[in-house]
Amino acid sequence: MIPLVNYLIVGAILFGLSFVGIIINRRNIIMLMMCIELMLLAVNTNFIAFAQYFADPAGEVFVFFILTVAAVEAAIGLAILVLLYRRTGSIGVREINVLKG
Amino acid sequence: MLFPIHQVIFYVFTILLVASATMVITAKSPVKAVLFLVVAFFASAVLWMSMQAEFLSLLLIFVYVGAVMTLFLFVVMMLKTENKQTPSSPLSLLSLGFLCLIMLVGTAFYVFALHWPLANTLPTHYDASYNNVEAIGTLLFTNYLFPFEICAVLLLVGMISAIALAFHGKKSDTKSQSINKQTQANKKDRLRIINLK
Repeated sequence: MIPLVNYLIVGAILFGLSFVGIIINRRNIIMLMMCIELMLLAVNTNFIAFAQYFADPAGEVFVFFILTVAAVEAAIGLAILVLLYRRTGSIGVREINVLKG
Repeated sequence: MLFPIHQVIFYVFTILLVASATMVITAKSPVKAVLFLVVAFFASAVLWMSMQAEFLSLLLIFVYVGAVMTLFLFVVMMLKTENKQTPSSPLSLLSLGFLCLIMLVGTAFYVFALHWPLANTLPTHYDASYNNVEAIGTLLFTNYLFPFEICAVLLLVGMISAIALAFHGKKSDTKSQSINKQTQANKKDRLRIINLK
């Protein structure tokens, strides 16, 4: 049987990898969003591990909510991305400086 | 000796998950990154399934791989990806990132594996009559009913705002319904009775 700590380490590795991804790909918004999805996956893995090992299904309910919020976030984020592309013709982070004071 | 099927599944899919996550963050083209992200979602769905979270693991495949990743793929293919070689990150940033990774994993390992007595908890053994969907559904419709309804409203708001953001008016050369005209139509405008005699 796998002890709890293995799943927690897997979650930590996945979270760290997506953090590295955010640092490496900070020019590309789509890659940033994919790294955030990966981060949420790591968090969800931790939630499910705790829910299973301590026999408390409330953790799985929270994973359900996180999945909902992540889906909405992806939809709105991609809609904003399409709008940005239509306005500026590119999706680089560099081009989003219109709000600069 | 019994074949250690749990361990084999865990390690195989963990390695697949970590490898595909690495490919996601280092991929040159976003399309490849999306496809590797799909592999990562499948691998972690298997891990969730081995933790007896059947409902959520299927939900991950249906909702994430089926809907969200398809959306990503559409957007990635629709937008022109940067053909010019993006300047690769300087070595200092890369090393900073790996320092962060090692610190994070090291801290997690230090805290969980060495200083936490509950870390070696073995998985809960549910008997055959246990129903994961029933357990989640019971909680969802009793203790968490209000957050559940908020989730529904959130999805509606997300749908409306995504449509409102991405919709940019009707094109002039396409055919479309005009609801206003349709409801105002009456018999006299449409029907002409002629005498055949």
